[in-house]
Amino acid sequence: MNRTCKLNLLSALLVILGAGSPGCDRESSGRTPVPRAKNAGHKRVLVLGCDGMDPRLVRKLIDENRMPNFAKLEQQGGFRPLETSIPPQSPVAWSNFITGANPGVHGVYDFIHRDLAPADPHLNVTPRTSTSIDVPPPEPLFEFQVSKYQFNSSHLNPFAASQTTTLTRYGVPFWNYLDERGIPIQIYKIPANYPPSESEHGHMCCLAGMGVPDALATLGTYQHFSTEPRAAVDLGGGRRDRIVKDFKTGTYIATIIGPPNEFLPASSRTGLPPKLEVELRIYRDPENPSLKIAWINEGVAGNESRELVLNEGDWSDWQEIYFLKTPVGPSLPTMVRFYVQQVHPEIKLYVSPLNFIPTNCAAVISEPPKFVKEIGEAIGPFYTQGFAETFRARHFKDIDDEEYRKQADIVLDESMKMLDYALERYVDGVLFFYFSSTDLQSHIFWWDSTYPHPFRSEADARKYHGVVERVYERMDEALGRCMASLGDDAAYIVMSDHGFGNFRRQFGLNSWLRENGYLDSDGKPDLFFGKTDWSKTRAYGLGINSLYLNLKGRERMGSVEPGDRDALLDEITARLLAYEDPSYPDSHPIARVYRRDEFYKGPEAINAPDLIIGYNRDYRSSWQTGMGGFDRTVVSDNREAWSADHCIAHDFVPGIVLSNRRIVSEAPALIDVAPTILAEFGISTPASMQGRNMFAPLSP
Amino acid sequence: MNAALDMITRGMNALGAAAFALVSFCSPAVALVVISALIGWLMLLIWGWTSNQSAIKDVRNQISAHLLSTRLFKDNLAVTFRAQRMIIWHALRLMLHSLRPMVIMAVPFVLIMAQIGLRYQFRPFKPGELIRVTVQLKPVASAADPITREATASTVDYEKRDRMQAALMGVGSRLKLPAGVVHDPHDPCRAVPLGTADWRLRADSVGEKILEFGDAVNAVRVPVVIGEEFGPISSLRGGHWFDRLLYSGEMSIAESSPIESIRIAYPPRSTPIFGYDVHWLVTLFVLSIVFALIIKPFTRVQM
Repeated sequence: MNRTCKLNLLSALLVILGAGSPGCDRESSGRTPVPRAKNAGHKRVLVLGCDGMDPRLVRKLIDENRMPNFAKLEQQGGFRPLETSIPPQSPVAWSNFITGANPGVHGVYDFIHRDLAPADPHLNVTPRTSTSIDVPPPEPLFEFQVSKYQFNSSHLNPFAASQTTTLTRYGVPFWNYLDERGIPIQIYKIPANYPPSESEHGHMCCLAGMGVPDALATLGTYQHFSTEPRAAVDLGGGRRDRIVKDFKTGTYIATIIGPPNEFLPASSRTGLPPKLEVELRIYRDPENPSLKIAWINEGVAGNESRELVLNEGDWSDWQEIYFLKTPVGPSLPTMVRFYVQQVHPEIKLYVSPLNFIPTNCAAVISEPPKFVKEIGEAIGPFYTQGFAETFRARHFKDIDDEEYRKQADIVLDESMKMLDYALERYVDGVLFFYFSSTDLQSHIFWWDSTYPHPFRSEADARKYHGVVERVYERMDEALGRCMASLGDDAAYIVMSDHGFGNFRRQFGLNSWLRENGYLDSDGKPDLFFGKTDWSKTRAYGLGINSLYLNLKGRERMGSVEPGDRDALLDEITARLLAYEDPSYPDSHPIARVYRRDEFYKGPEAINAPDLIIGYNRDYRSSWQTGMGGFDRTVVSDNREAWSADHCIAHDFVPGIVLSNRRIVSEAPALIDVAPTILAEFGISTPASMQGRNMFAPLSP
Repeated sequence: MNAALDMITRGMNALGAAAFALVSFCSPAVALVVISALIGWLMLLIWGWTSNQSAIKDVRNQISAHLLSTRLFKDNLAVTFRAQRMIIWHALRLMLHSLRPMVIMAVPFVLIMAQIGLRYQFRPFKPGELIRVTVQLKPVASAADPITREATASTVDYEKRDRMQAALMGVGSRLKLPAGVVHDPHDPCRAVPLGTADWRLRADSVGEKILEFGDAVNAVRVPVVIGEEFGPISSLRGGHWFDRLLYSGEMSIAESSPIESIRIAYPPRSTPIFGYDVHWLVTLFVLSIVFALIIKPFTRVQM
């Protein structure tokens, strides 16, 4: 036998042995490494982030023995209210947590910021999102056209779309200090970190949470179809359209709208390329309340046919939908969940926002990018969009309370599954896991006011507040799973970014400013696109808690001299605090007004709002105020399903912190959590942070 | 046609069962490797028997000679170009000589692949897992014959649709379930334009459950496999003849039955090789070629 034959036989033997083995270990199959830290000493710190968990309800449930694991932590270490951010909004609060510093450092002050240099020169300012901005893609190196399709160099990069988004949360995240010391960090679904910050030393894995868009590049746009006669309408976060019947065949047709097709030229009317579409064919059983839904994933395995059968009231599993961009590809991979709301007499079908497929993700939503794929391979598909709960569909009344509860429970179940995976994967270092359910179920179901609920009966309000309590119990269950997995040696920190309150009355800040002569606008429809006389406008509201002066030299059409700034701010503050709700005498909608100069310290403070409005309990800014709009009356009832909120004075809605380590600090704050985590690994509080270790006594 | 297909199916099922019985002692992944080796060897043998070996040897020698001349006379452009032209020509001749053995191998190998596919394409359902079964009815003829009667195309369509709906509501909706299998209370979902009825079933115990569709006269029985065991899984009964060859280990449905086919949506089977989950067909293709190349030096077959 010659040498070649021997080698051939050896190869064959290896093949046979390889096939017979039960499967190689996951490390060798290319899993993201979490290198073991020599200096970590196998120390383990677990942080459970429960968005919006309120200390009053936690106290009540612990006292009623409904949260035994939380009670155990309280006995071992302590339970304190956790001072939240100013304002207590999630992106601001989680940025405080991430950087251990106030908004003056990280530059996130509100969900909505103002853009001082809008592209349209006729506009003074425009709204933009706070934690990331879209950057125009670079000029292509080359481009050419085939038929109607335009190709260019950026199409060669599958992640080109996500690379045009840049993280605008500044400051140094706490994980950077751990990463540089070789301490492993695993972070799941953290808000205010999209696109995910990079791990310089390769010891950090992070799945981005709140802020991750859907495939339409929005924060989540659901699509609702019905056979009822109606025109297609874009609701801003939702879309309604008709299901058309082909009377000849009896087939119903609905069209799912995807993102614009960048391979096609922009239309002269909209300035955007035509949108991608996938046609659903819907077949209804003549008697039974069931539907068969079929579609074709063009460009996948030779035009893959997909179909599923659902009954009325069923949520489907995740279903892959591919949008073919040109006849030769590529296809945009997305996934949705269908919900059959009604079959007879009219068909009503809800389609979730187009999420990315974790195992075939068309955007970079994790660090390293393959981390999301590994999670998807281990636990199956999951909501990748930041706001997974379909609160917009509830807001626009396309689904009801019970349907929202079921969908939110699906999100929570997915999170629990991901937590199990995270625990299985976790060896040492820091594990951070985020739950959105405590926040987004509370926004809809929380109600502990003595006033009647805007649209629920007292019994229903109580029943649905019970849903929030059940979610809290499940958080206790999650903590129990962690304790069972990690034992008593690990340090546990359970924390929330803020608490909760009822949202009964809404305050129209811009309407108040107009009524009091600070703002000159016809208010149709808002500050920016209505007739606003900026030369007579001295202040305007934009965002949930933000008030800006129209300052000369800063705003493009500024009217207030910088020298008049302080006096004007004092005047507005005094008048806002003195304002009484006309319908409820002696009720002041505004409890605190914060001056940025007093509360924000850091290089980004200069871009912050001039005043941050701290609303009183039961109040919040109006729905119109957030985007610079106006209301008919300054104060009115909130009649939306979103009937609870936390964007009020920060001292009314503290978060929580529980730990099995003794919490020495009497008044811990969100900015203290990051220094506390670092201290557990022997890292002293860095200069970039303003908090302190809550487990250590205050040094004299 | 049906009788011929049944005969082929019966024969191949028997052969498949016998072949897999020989490798039943090893895991499905190892069995796939062994089968790949056997197929590689078999392909090589058939190639040797059915191809013109002397012509292939001659062509390969010609290619070697021209390759050699490109190396020897690399300074002479005319010779190099001529040699390259000849290499391409002889490569085409080699492909022509491959046609006959490939055509001869195509039919038996499709049948062999179908038998392997029956075992590796799908896995059985787990207890409690959703089982979707789709019954496709035969097209319904219209009473309004557009040739003899004056009727518009759309009238014929509506009439066909109504008749299909009647058929679906009748025989298309009948399913007799075995013990231990339950169906969704809203089943079936009948899609009149498609002529299909879909059931969503769940089984609570392992074993082969026989579902009985249609009426007593034309009952069509289909097995559903629940459990973990490795074995043949037929996802289709009836249907197009080519689909039946590829996906079905089942006999034909009687001509008199209104049912055209019954499809069971089994989950795909995963057979990881070296820890990588590659489609069984790719594994088989790659490994059989690898093994054929390994065995080739011992057989003196020219390829």
